Amino acid sequence: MVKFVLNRLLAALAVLFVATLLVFLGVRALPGGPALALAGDNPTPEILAQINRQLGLDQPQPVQYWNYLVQLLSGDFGRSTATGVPVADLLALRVPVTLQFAFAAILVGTVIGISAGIISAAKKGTWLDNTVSVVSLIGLSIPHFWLGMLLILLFSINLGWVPASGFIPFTEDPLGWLKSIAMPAIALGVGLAAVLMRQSRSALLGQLGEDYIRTAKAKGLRGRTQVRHAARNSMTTVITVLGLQLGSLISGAVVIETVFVLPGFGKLMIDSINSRDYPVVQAAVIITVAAYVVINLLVDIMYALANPRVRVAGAGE
Amino acid sequence: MHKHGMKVLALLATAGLLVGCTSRVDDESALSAPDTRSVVKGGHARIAIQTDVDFLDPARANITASRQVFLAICERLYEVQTDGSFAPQLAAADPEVSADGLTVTIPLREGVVFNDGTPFNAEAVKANLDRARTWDRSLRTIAKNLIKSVDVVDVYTVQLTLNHKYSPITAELGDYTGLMASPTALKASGDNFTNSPVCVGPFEYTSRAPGDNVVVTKSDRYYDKAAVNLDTITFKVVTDPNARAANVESGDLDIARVVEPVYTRLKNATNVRPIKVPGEGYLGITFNVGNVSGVGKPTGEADNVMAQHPELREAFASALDRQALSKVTTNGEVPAGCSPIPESSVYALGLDCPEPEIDKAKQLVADSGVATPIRLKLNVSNAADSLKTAQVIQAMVKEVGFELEIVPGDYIANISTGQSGNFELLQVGWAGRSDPTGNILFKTGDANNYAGYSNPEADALIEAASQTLDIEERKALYRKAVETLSADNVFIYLAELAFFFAADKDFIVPEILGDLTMKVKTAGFTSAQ
Repeated sequence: MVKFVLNRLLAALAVLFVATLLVFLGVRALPGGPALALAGDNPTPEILAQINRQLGLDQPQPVQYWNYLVQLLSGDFGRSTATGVPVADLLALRVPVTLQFAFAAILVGTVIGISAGIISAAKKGTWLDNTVSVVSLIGLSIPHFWLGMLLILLFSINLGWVPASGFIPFTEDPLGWLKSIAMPAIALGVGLAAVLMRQSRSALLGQLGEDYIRTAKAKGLRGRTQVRHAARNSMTTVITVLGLQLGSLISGAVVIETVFVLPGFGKLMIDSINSRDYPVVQAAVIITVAAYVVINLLVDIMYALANPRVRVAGAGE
Repeated sequence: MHKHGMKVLALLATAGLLVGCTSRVDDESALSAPDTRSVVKGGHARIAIQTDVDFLDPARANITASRQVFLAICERLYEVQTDGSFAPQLAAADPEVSADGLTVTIPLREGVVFNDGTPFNAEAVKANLDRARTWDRSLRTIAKNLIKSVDVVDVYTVQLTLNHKYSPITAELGDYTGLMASPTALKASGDNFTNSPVCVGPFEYTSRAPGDNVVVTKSDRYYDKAAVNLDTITFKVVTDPNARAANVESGDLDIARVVEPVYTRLKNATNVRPIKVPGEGYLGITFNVGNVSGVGKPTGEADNVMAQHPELREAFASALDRQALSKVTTNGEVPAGCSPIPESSVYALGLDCPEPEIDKAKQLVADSGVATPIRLKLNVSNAADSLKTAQVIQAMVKEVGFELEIVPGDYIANISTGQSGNFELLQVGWAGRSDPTGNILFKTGDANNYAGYSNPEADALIEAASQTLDIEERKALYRKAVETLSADNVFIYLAELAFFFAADKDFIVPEILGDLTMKVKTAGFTSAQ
């Protein structure tokens, strides 16, 4: 198991290194740069050169990349070119916001999705199964941002139950916090719930058709116990899908944070791209890549724990 | 986005950075036109800004959001008025300009202190102007090039020596250059003034959550604090126009900029007041005729059919129906225009917009000998209403033989495209400025002359206008310059600008300016919150 984890960690480091290079080159491939964003109404060549000099962007790109790597390895993400605020401070403010409502979305998605999937599989062919399938199809089809706007229209504008935007820290007002993340979590979690419902239903139906269930049934195992046995085995598929979906939550967060005006990580990324804020974009992408890598690593480990054949094969690679 | 930096149009919406200078609020709402309700003392206002602020430092700030916050916390030597003129704010009177135009003497308001208690006087003004013109991080390019020296005449009089005559000097001192920061705070914080800005203002800076909000609180030291109503203001960053509208409707914001369809819809709302504010900029199309190697570099003949065939540019212009464009894209809320200076300005040129002449356009295309369809690429902002404008233009010119491919790009990308000269046609919006000098962008070598247009006759007229004090003389010079440009069909002016806001029905902002800033000093609520 240790060797398996070490192998995965080495691969993760390689991915992160490649990511630094790709994001460095990618952000500079965008038309325009920080100087244009900062120069205001009179972007003369002299002013642009002055800003580029101050930001160190007048140096050759290999030198810039080397400086960036050295800075990154020392744990320094630099300062935002758009606002002058240290990038680490921005991340410290923004990442927790995204994590809070993303975890709430995962909670919404997994509880609703897996429960509905199990019920649907257990009641295959009934009106309940058909209803859940249709609802999940709708959940899959509705874009996050549109659902978000509908929720705002209903719960904020018409009913006035929850604020349409903003984030309230839990430490300031727990109820306010819950209200501030409820709609974003639902808007983001519904899509996840739909995916998990379909996957868990499919995986569970597959397990219910396996020989060991048929044998257990022949020995007199009752329906609910059958499902419990099969559900555990179907979870490897669901865990894998959940891991993959967690990545898509990050992209979903970008949209949701814009709609609900949440000062989170996704919105930071969009704003920094729009202002060509190289240090922030680079840091945001690296953090995102790291999140993907860690999530996949955790999924691999959980998968290996659930299925010993995986860790044996992984350690031997 | 930038106040004046909104070069590439996010037509009237999302990018939100089309800014000009002052314009009167034209409140068309039946709920509030004109709103003369009294305002109570106290309250916390939540005002949307469309992007995060950049630097809360007068020498470094450049974007609209920063300008909006500065209007609450930082006063200027001169303040722009709703008619586009300037009135003394921290100055005590209009500047006295010497006969040769090179010496400007400014009397200052007495009995004023900065919000940290530092006295406001000539030494403070000198410290600020010297910083603007000499600090290597300063982005005040006009101040750098224009102001030769700043001298203290006495405690409340300062004198500027200019490198050359410059008629819009008051406008310059009514903009970022004229924002006065506390010399004590400048000395203490140096490059980091932006983190704890201190000025003379009705409000003082309290806190900032980067990317989310800036909070300001009523100042106890402000010389006119009796006129200030609100206790605090939160400037909330809300980039998405739909989210801004929803937040005003739900009561989570007190005022926000919205897009025209929302403005029109809200005319029937009961809890929200729609407001229209005329801008001082314009919308148009630039042809790349000479920008062959980038702005600021020598011009030549651009390698595209429109640069090589002036008659095709004329045909293109003749195919455009400005009134139809206004109706289709903005329900007629944004007026058609054919001048860089809006009709509401005292410098309005009074030019008559030409009617579309389809037959003439077709004939010009035929006479050019260029095979149709003539395929062209039109670079535009990726904002929804900017794309809508481009699509209408696309349909209009198709009739006479042009086939436009619309190439959308974000704000920075389009500026970059314009600067590099890597385009054929560019749909451009200019935020506008109170002084027409800032709207005439086709002088040879101008940083915003994306067309690479170079006409010595036009250059001479523009130069003469910038050195002339008399309004009528300046108008005549600008009119000739614009007519020269129009004859060459290098830039086609299509529309003026207008901005739309939605406000809580109980929140009153007496003035919203054409640069999207609000005079929050006397803003307030009609009843206690």
